[in-house]
Amino acid sequence: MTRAVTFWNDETIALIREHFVAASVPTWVCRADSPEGVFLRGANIHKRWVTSSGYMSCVSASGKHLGRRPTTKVLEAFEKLPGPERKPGSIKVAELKPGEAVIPTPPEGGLVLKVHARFLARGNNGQLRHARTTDFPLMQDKPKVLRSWQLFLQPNTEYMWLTRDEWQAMVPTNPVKGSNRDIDATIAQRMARFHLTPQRATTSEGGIKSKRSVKEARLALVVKDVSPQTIRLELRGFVHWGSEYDESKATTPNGPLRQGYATPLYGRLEYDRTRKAFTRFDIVAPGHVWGRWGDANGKSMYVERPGRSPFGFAFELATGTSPSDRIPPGGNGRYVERTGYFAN
Amino acid sequence: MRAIHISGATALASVVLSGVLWGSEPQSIEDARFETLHAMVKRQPGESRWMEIDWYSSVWEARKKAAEQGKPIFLMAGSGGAPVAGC
Repeated sequence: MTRAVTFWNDETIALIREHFVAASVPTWVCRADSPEGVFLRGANIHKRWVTSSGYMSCVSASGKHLGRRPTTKVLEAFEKLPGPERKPGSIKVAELKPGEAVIPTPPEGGLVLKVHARFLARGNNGQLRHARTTDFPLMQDKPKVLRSWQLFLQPNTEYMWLTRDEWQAMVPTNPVKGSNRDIDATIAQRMARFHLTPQRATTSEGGIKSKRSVKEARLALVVKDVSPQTIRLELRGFVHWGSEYDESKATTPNGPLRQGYATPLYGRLEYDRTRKAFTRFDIVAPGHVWGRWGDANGKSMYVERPGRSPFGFAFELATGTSPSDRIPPGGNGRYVERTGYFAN
Repeated sequence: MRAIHISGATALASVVLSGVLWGSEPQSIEDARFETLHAMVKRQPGESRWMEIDWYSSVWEARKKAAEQGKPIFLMAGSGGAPVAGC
Protein backbone atom coordinates (compact mmCIF):
# COMPACT_ATOMS: atom_id res chain seq x y z
CA MET A 1 0.00 0.00 0.00
CA THR A 2 1.13 3.52 -0.62
CA ARG A 3 0.93 4.29 3.08
CA ALA A 4 2.75 1.16 4.26
CA VAL A 5 4.43 1.85 7.57
CA THR A 6 7.70 0.29 6.47
CA PHE A 7 7.94 2.46 3.32
CA TRP A 8 7.87 5.79 5.17
CA ASN A 9 11.17 5.49 6.98
CA ASP A 10 13.89 8.07 7.68
CA GLU A 11 15.80 7.20 4.51
CA THR A 12 12.85 7.47 2.16
CA ILE A 13 11.54 10.66 3.67
CA ALA A 14 14.96 12.32 3.54
CA LEU A 15 15.43 11.21 -0.09
CA ILE A 16 12.06 12.66 -1.14
CA ARG A 17 12.49 15.92 0.76
CA GLU A 18 15.93 16.56 -0.68
CA HIS A 19 15.70 15.24 -4.22
CA PHE A 20 12.07 15.27 -5.35
CA VAL A 21 9.07 17.57 -5.65
CA ALA A 22 6.10 15.59 -4.35
CA ALA A 23 2.48 15.81 -5.47
CA SER A 24 -0.55 13.87 -4.25
CA VAL A 25 -3.54 13.82 -6.60
CA PRO A 26 -6.60 11.79 -7.60
CA THR A 27 -5.89 9.37 -10.44
CA TRP A 28 -8.55 10.93 -12.68
CA VAL A 29 -6.24 13.92 -13.23
CA CYS A 30 -4.34 11.82 -15.78
CA ARG A 31 -7.51 11.62 -17.91
CA ALA A 32 -8.58 15.25 -17.48
CA ASP A 33 -9.06 17.49 -20.47
CA SER A 34 -6.47 19.96 -19.22
CA PRO A 35 -2.76 20.80 -19.52
CA GLU A 36 -2.14 18.61 -16.45
CA GLY A 37 -3.86 15.67 -18.10
CA VAL A 38 -1.94 16.23 -21.32
CA PHE A 39 1.32 16.37 -19.39
CA LEU A 40 0.62 13.11 -17.57
CA ARG A 41 -0.59 11.33 -20.70
CA GLY A 42 2.57 12.45 -22.45
CA ALA A 43 4.46 10.41 -19.85
CA ASN A 44 2.02 7.49 -20.36
CA ILE A 45 0.80 7.80 -16.79
CA HIS A 46 -2.77 7.07 -17.94
CA LYS A 47 -1.61 3.58 -18.93
CA ARG A 48 -0.32 2.99 -15.41
CA TRP A 49 -3.10 4.51 -13.27
CA VAL A 50 -5.77 2.13 -14.51
CA THR A 51 -7.54 0.57 -11.53
CA SER A 52 -8.95 1.79 -8.24
CA SER A 53 -5.64 1.22 -6.51
CA GLY A 54 -3.13 3.77 -5.30
CA TYR A 55 -0.11 4.50 -7.45
CA MET A 56 3.35 5.96 -7.23
CA SER A 57 5.05 7.37 -10.33
CA CYS A 58 8.12 9.52 -10.89
CA VAL A 59 8.35 11.80 -13.91
CA SER A 60 10.59 14.64 -15.04
CA ALA A 61 9.27 18.16 -15.56
CA SER A 62 10.00 17.50 -19.25
CA GLY A 63 7.42 14.67 -19.18
CA LYS A 64 9.62 11.56 -19.10
CA HIS A 65 8.55 8.62 -16.96
CA LEU A 66 11.47 7.72 -14.66
CA GLY A 67 10.16 4.91 -12.50
CA ARG A 68 7.63 4.00 -9.88
CA ARG A 69 8.83 4.62 -6.33
CA PRO A 70 11.17 7.51 -5.39
CA THR A 71 14.54 5.73 -5.23
CA THR A 72 18.18 6.34 -6.08
CA LYS A 73 17.59 4.38 -9.30
CA VAL A 74 15.00 6.97 -10.33
CA LEU A 75 17.48 9.72 -9.52
CA GLU A 76 20.07 7.97 -11.70
CA ALA A 77 17.56 7.81 -14.56
CA PHE A 78 16.86 11.52 -14.06
CA GLU A 79 20.57 12.35 -14.18
CA LYS A 80 20.86 10.53 -17.52
CA LEU A 81 18.39 12.93 -19.15
CA PRO A 82 19.91 15.62 -21.38
CA GLY A 83 20.78 18.82 -19.52
CA PRO A 84 17.96 20.93 -21.03
CA GLU A 85 15.43 18.43 -19.59
CA ARG A 86 16.65 18.50 -16.02
CA LYS A 87 18.86 21.49 -15.16
CA PRO A 88 17.24 24.10 -12.86
CA GLY A 89 15.43 26.73 -14.88
CA SER A 90 15.98 25.11 -18.25
CA ILE A 91 12.33 24.16 -18.68
CA LYS A 92 9.84 27.01 -18.62
CA VAL A 93 6.42 25.97 -17.38
CA ALA A 94 3.74 28.49 -18.32
CA GLU A 95 1.07 29.53 -15.86
CA LEU A 96 -2.28 27.83 -16.31
CA LYS A 97 -5.02 29.98 -17.80
CA PRO A 98 -8.15 30.67 -15.73
CA GLY A 99 -10.29 27.56 -15.69
CA GLU A 100 -7.50 25.17 -16.65
CA ALA A 101 -6.63 24.01 -13.13
CA VAL A 102 -8.43 20.77 -12.29
CA ILE A 103 -7.84 20.82 -8.54
CA PRO A 104 -9.43 23.78 -6.73
CA THR A 105 -7.50 25.90 -4.27
CA PRO A 106 -8.73 27.18 -0.91
CA PRO A 107 -11.17 30.10 -1.14
CA GLU A 108 -9.57 33.54 -1.30
CA GLY A 109 -9.13 34.85 2.22
CA GLY A 110 -10.59 31.64 3.57
CA LEU A 111 -9.50 29.52 6.48
CA VAL A 112 -8.09 26.01 6.26
CA LEU A 113 -8.30 23.50 9.09
CA LYS A 114 -6.40 20.25 9.32
CA VAL A 115 -8.71 17.41 10.30
CA HIS A 116 -7.10 14.40 11.97
CA ALA A 117 -9.15 11.20 12.21
CA ARG A 118 -8.15 8.42 14.59
CA PHE A 119 -9.41 5.10 15.90
CA LEU A 120 -9.62 5.14 19.68
CA ALA A 121 -10.37 2.51 22.30
CA ARG A 122 -10.92 2.24 26.04
CA GLY A 123 -8.35 0.90 28.43
CA ASN A 124 -9.21 -1.43 31.27
CA ASN A 125 -9.90 1.61 33.44
CA GLY A 126 -12.34 2.98 30.88
CA GLN A 127 -10.08 5.82 29.81
CA LEU A 128 -9.70 6.68 26.16
CA ARG A 129 -6.49 5.63 24.43
CA HIS A 130 -5.18 5.01 20.92
CA ALA A 131 -6.60 1.85 19.35
CA ARG A 132 -4.40 -1.16 18.78
CA THR A 133 -4.92 -4.02 16.36
CA THR A 134 -5.81 -6.21 19.35
CA ASP A 135 -8.95 -4.06 19.84
CA PHE A 136 -10.46 -5.32 16.58
CA PRO A 137 -12.04 -8.81 16.91
CA LEU A 138 -12.29 -9.35 13.16
CA MET A 139 -8.50 -9.04 12.81
CA GLN A 140 -7.60 -11.58 15.42
CA ASP A 141 -5.89 -14.83 14.38
CA LYS A 142 -5.01 -13.20 11.07
CA PRO A 143 -1.32 -12.18 11.30
CA LYS A 144 -1.20 -10.67 7.79
CA VAL A 145 -4.28 -8.58 8.46
CA LEU A 146 -2.89 -7.43 11.81
CA ARG A 147 0.28 -6.27 10.08
CA SER A 148 -1.27 -4.58 7.06
CA TRP A 149 -4.04 -2.80 8.94
CA GLN A 150 -1.68 -1.37 11.52
CA LEU A 151 -1.07 1.65 9.31
CA PHE A 152 -4.76 2.60 9.41
CA LEU A 153 -4.54 2.99 13.16
CA GLN A 154 -2.29 5.97 12.64
CA PRO A 155 -4.27 9.15 12.17
CA ASN A 156 -5.35 10.29 8.74
CA THR A 157 -5.18 14.01 8.02
CA GLU A 158 -7.34 15.85 5.55
CA TYR A 159 -8.54 19.46 5.29
CA MET A 160 -11.67 21.51 5.87
CA TRP A 161 -12.27 24.82 4.11
CA LEU A 162 -14.18 27.85 5.35
CA THR A 163 -14.81 30.91 3.23
CA ARG A 164 -13.78 34.36 4.38
CA ASP A 165 -17.42 35.31 5.06
CA GLU A 166 -17.96 32.15 7.10
CA TRP A 167 -15.06 32.55 9.48
CA GLN A 168 -15.51 36.31 9.79
CA ALA A 169 -19.11 35.72 10.82
CA MET A 170 -17.81 33.75 13.81
CA VAL A 171 -16.11 36.83 15.24
CA PRO A 172 -18.47 38.72 17.56
CA THR A 173 -18.57 42.39 16.57
CA ASN A 174 -19.21 43.54 20.14
CA PRO A 175 -17.84 40.68 22.23
CA VAL A 176 -19.27 40.34 25.72
CA LYS A 177 -17.83 37.77 28.08
CA GLY A 178 -20.30 34.93 28.57
CA SER A 179 -22.38 35.68 25.49
CA ASN A 180 -23.40 32.67 23.44
CA ARG A 181 -24.40 32.42 19.80
CA ASP A 182 -24.92 29.64 17.28
CA ILE A 183 -22.55 29.16 14.37
CA ASP A 184 -24.11 29.09 10.91
CA ALA A 185 -25.77 25.70 10.47
CA THR A 186 -24.09 25.36 7.07
CA ILE A 187 -20.73 24.90 8.78
CA ALA A 188 -22.04 22.33 11.24
CA GLN A 189 -23.61 20.41 8.36
CA ARG A 190 -20.38 20.56 6.37
CA MET A 191 -18.44 19.23 9.31
CA ALA A 192 -20.95 16.40 9.84
CA ARG A 193 -21.31 15.36 6.21
CA PHE A 194 -17.79 15.76 4.86
CA HIS A 195 -15.39 15.55 7.78
CA LEU A 196 -16.78 13.79 10.86
CA THR A 197 -16.83 10.56 8.88
CA PRO A 198 -14.75 7.69 10.27
CA GLN A 199 -14.36 6.23 6.78
CA ARG A 200 -11.74 8.97 6.27
CA ALA A 201 -9.39 6.84 8.32
CA THR A 202 -9.38 4.11 5.70
CA THR A 203 -10.19 5.73 2.36
CA SER A 204 -10.79 9.02 0.68
CA GLU A 205 -13.39 7.41 -1.59
CA GLY A 206 -16.98 8.23 -0.81
CA GLY A 207 -17.83 8.63 2.83
CA ILE A 208 -19.81 11.83 2.29
CA LYS A 209 -23.01 11.67 4.27
CA SER A 210 -26.33 12.69 2.77
CA LYS A 211 -28.19 15.66 4.23
CA ARG A 212 -30.98 13.30 5.18
CA SER A 213 -28.67 11.13 7.27
CA VAL A 214 -27.62 14.01 9.52
CA LYS A 215 -29.82 13.78 12.62
CA GLU A 216 -28.24 16.68 14.39
CA ALA A 217 -25.46 19.16 13.71
CA ARG A 218 -25.09 22.12 16.05
CA LEU A 219 -22.20 24.39 16.86
CA ALA A 220 -22.14 27.38 19.18
CA LEU A 221 -19.53 29.84 20.41
CA VAL A 222 -19.26 31.27 23.90
CA VAL A 223 -17.10 34.34 24.56
CA LYS A 224 -14.68 33.37 27.31
CA ASP A 225 -12.43 36.38 27.49
CA VAL A 226 -12.05 39.74 25.81
CA SER A 227 -9.03 42.04 25.73
CA PRO A 228 -8.02 44.83 23.35
CA GLN A 229 -5.76 42.31 21.63
CA THR A 230 -7.63 39.00 21.76
CA ILE A 231 -11.06 37.43 21.85
CA ARG A 232 -11.06 33.91 23.29
CA LEU A 233 -13.96 31.71 22.34
CA GLU A 234 -15.14 28.31 23.45
CA LEU A 235 -16.85 26.11 20.87
CA ARG A 236 -19.51 23.64 21.91
CA GLY A 237 -21.43 21.37 19.62
CA PHE A 238 -22.97 18.05 18.84
CA VAL A 239 -23.23 15.97 15.68
CA HIS A 240 -25.10 12.76 15.00
CA TRP A 241 -25.52 11.13 11.63
CA GLY A 242 -26.75 7.73 10.56
CA SER A 243 -28.64 5.16 12.61
CA GLU A 244 -29.82 5.35 16.20
CA TYR A 245 -27.67 3.12 18.36
CA ASP A 246 -29.21 -0.24 19.21
CA GLU A 247 -26.91 -2.48 21.21
CA SER A 248 -28.80 -5.65 20.30
CA LYS A 249 -28.20 -4.99 16.62
CA ALA A 250 -24.66 -3.59 16.79
CA THR A 251 -23.08 -6.99 16.23
CA THR A 252 -20.14 -7.90 14.06
CA PRO A 253 -19.52 -9.08 11.43
CA ASN A 254 -22.29 -8.10 9.02
CA GLY A 255 -24.78 -7.07 11.70
CA PRO A 256 -28.12 -5.52 10.77
CA LEU A 257 -27.50 -2.04 12.16
CA ARG A 258 -26.53 0.65 9.66
CA GLN A 259 -23.60 2.79 10.62
CA GLY A 260 -24.03 5.75 12.88
CA TYR A 261 -21.72 8.28 14.52
CA ALA A 262 -22.34 10.73 17.30
CA THR A 263 -19.99 13.12 18.99
CA PRO A 264 -19.87 16.16 21.20
CA LEU A 265 -17.55 18.86 19.91
CA TYR A 266 -15.36 21.00 22.10
CA GLY A 267 -13.20 23.85 20.86
CA ARG A 268 -10.80 26.60 21.85
CA LEU A 269 -10.55 29.51 19.43
CA GLU A 270 -8.52 32.70 19.67
CA TYR A 271 -8.96 35.75 17.47
CA ASP A 272 -6.29 38.42 17.16
CA ARG A 273 -8.13 41.74 16.88
CA THR A 274 -5.10 43.58 15.50
CA ARG A 275 -4.23 41.06 12.81
CA LYS A 276 -7.95 40.38 12.25
CA ALA A 277 -7.25 36.67 12.08
CA PHE A 278 -7.80 33.53 14.06
CA THR A 279 -4.57 32.37 15.68
CA ARG A 280 -6.05 29.28 17.26
CA PHE A 281 -8.87 27.05 16.03
CA ASP A 282 -8.64 23.80 17.96
CA ILE A 283 -11.61 21.45 18.04
CA VAL A 284 -11.87 17.89 19.31
CA ALA A 285 -14.69 15.45 18.63
CA PRO A 286 -14.33 12.37 20.88
CA GLY A 287 -17.25 10.46 19.40
CA HIS A 288 -18.45 6.91 18.93
CA VAL A 289 -19.15 4.89 15.80
CA TRP A 290 -21.42 1.87 15.60
CA GLY A 291 -23.03 -0.47 13.12
CA ARG A 292 -21.92 -1.85 9.78
CA TRP A 293 -18.59 -0.54 8.56
CA GLY A 294 -18.89 -1.96 5.07
CA ASP A 295 -16.52 -2.22 2.13
CA ALA A 296 -17.55 -1.41 -1.45
CA ASN A 297 -19.82 -4.48 -1.35
CA GLY A 298 -21.24 -3.73 2.06
CA LYS A 299 -19.37 -6.52 3.81
CA SER A 300 -17.87 -5.74 7.21
CA MET A 301 -14.35 -4.41 7.13
CA TYR A 302 -11.73 -5.52 9.62
CA VAL A 303 -12.01 -2.20 11.48
CA GLU A 304 -15.62 -2.87 12.44
CA ARG A 305 -16.17 -3.52 16.15
CA PRO A 306 -19.23 -4.64 18.08
CA GLY A 307 -21.25 -2.18 20.11
CA ARG A 308 -20.28 1.47 20.19
CA SER A 309 -16.57 2.21 19.62
CA PRO A 310 -14.64 5.41 20.23
CA PHE A 311 -13.47 7.30 17.18
CA GLY A 312 -12.05 10.81 17.42
CA PHE A 313 -11.40 13.83 15.25
CA ALA A 314 -9.19 16.81 15.99
CA PHE A 315 -9.20 20.08 14.05
CA GLU A 316 -6.46 22.69 14.04
CA LEU A 317 -5.42 25.66 11.92
CA ALA A 318 -3.31 24.92 8.86
CA THR A 319 -0.48 27.40 8.87
CA GLY A 320 -0.25 27.69 5.08
CA THR A 321 3.50 27.25 5.16
CA SER A 322 3.37 23.91 3.32
CA PRO A 323 1.81 23.18 -0.08
CA SER A 324 0.09 20.27 1.73
CA ASP A 325 -2.17 22.90 3.29
CA ARG A 326 -3.79 23.43 -0.12
CA ILE A 327 -4.93 19.82 -0.49
CA PRO A 328 -8.71 20.00 -0.97
CA PRO A 329 -11.20 18.46 1.45
CA GLY A 330 -11.08 14.67 1.36
CA GLY A 331 -8.09 14.97 -0.95
CA ASN A 332 -10.53 15.30 -3.82
CA GLY A 333 -11.36 18.57 -5.54
CA ARG A 334 -14.63 17.09 -6.76
CA TYR A 335 -15.93 17.16 -3.19
CA VAL A 336 -15.77 20.92 -3.42
CA GLU A 337 -17.03 21.35 -6.94
CA ARG A 338 -19.65 18.62 -7.38
CA THR A 339 -21.09 17.63 -4.03
CA GLY A 340 -22.41 20.85 -2.55
CA TYR A 341 -19.55 21.40 -0.14
CA PHE A 342 -20.22 25.12 0.24
CA ALA A 343 -23.97 24.91 -0.33
CA ASN A 344 -26.51 25.93 2.26
CA MET B 1 -18.63 -16.41 11.71
CA ARG B 2 -20.13 -16.09 15.18
CA ALA B 3 -21.68 -12.68 15.83
CA ILE B 4 -19.86 -10.78 18.53
CA HIS B 5 -21.75 -8.85 21.20
CA ILE B 6 -20.63 -6.71 24.09
CA SER B 7 -22.33 -6.79 27.43
CA GLY B 8 -24.60 -3.98 28.52
CA ALA B 9 -22.60 -3.60 31.73
CA THR B 10 -19.40 -3.05 29.79
CA ALA B 11 -21.10 -0.48 27.61
CA LEU B 12 -22.50 1.40 30.62
CA ALA B 13 -19.17 1.32 32.48
CA SER B 14 -17.35 2.75 29.49
CA VAL B 15 -19.81 5.62 29.23
CA VAL B 16 -19.76 6.42 32.96
CA LEU B 17 -15.98 6.31 33.14
CA SER B 18 -15.39 8.30 29.99
CA GLY B 19 -16.30 11.69 31.40
CA VAL B 20 -17.81 12.49 28.01
CA LEU B 21 -21.46 13.27 28.31
CA TRP B 22 -24.13 11.81 26.07
CA GLY B 23 -27.09 13.66 24.77
CA SER B 24 -27.30 16.43 22.27
CA GLU B 25 -27.07 19.51 24.48
CA PRO B 26 -23.66 21.07 23.73
CA GLN B 27 -21.47 20.82 26.79
CA SER B 28 -18.29 22.32 28.08
CA ILE B 29 -15.16 20.57 29.34
CA GLU B 30 -12.32 21.96 31.38
CA ASP B 31 -9.18 23.16 29.63
CA ALA B 32 -6.91 20.36 30.86
CA ARG B 33 -9.29 17.66 29.61
CA PHE B 34 -9.67 19.48 26.31
CA GLU B 35 -5.92 19.71 25.77
CA THR B 36 -5.47 16.02 26.60
CA LEU B 37 -8.18 14.90 24.20
CA HIS B 38 -7.03 17.19 21.40
CA ALA B 39 -3.41 16.07 21.71
CA MET B 40 -4.49 12.41 21.87
CA VAL B 41 -6.25 12.51 18.52
CA LYS B 42 -3.74 14.65 16.64
CA ARG B 43 -0.80 13.12 14.87
CA GLN B 44 2.01 12.19 17.28
CA PRO B 45 5.71 12.37 16.35
CA GLY B 46 6.61 9.35 14.26
CA GLU B 47 3.04 8.71 13.10
CA SER B 48 1.63 9.03 9.59
CA ARG B 49 5.09 9.88 8.38
CA TRP B 50 3.97 10.57 4.81
CA MET B 51 2.75 13.88 6.23
CA GLU B 52 6.39 14.91 6.80
CA ILE B 53 6.57 15.50 3.06
CA ASP B 54 5.41 18.77 1.49
CA TRP B 55 2.75 17.60 -0.97
CA TYR B 56 1.56 19.70 -3.88
CA SER B 57 -2.12 19.18 -4.68
CA SER B 58 -1.56 20.28 -8.27
CA VAL B 59 0.55 18.40 -10.81
CA TRP B 60 1.18 21.72 -12.56
CA GLU B 61 2.45 23.46 -9.46
CA ALA B 62 4.71 20.50 -8.77
CA ARG B 63 5.93 20.59 -12.35
CA LYS B 64 6.75 24.30 -12.09
CA LYS B 65 8.66 23.80 -8.86
CA ALA B 66 10.49 20.75 -10.25
CA ALA B 67 11.53 22.71 -13.35
CA GLU B 68 12.79 25.61 -11.19
CA GLN B 69 14.76 23.36 -8.89
CA GLY B 70 15.98 20.79 -11.40
CA LYS B 71 14.34 17.86 -9.59
CA PRO B 72 12.12 14.96 -10.63
CA ILE B 73 8.45 14.87 -9.62
CA PHE B 74 7.18 12.13 -7.30
CA LEU B 75 3.47 11.52 -7.80
CA MET B 76 1.29 9.65 -5.35
CA ALA B 77 -2.21 9.07 -6.69
CA GLY B 78 -5.39 7.43 -5.44
CA SER B 79 -8.65 6.69 -7.15
CA GLY B 80 -10.73 8.48 -4.52
CA GLY B 81 -8.46 11.42 -4.00
CA ALA B 82 -5.02 12.43 -2.86
CA PRO B 83 -3.79 9.45 -0.83
CA VAL B 84 -2.15 11.69 1.72
CA ALA B 85 -5.67 12.73 2.72
CA GLY B 86 -7.01 9.19 2.59
CA CYS B 87 -5.88 5.99 0.91
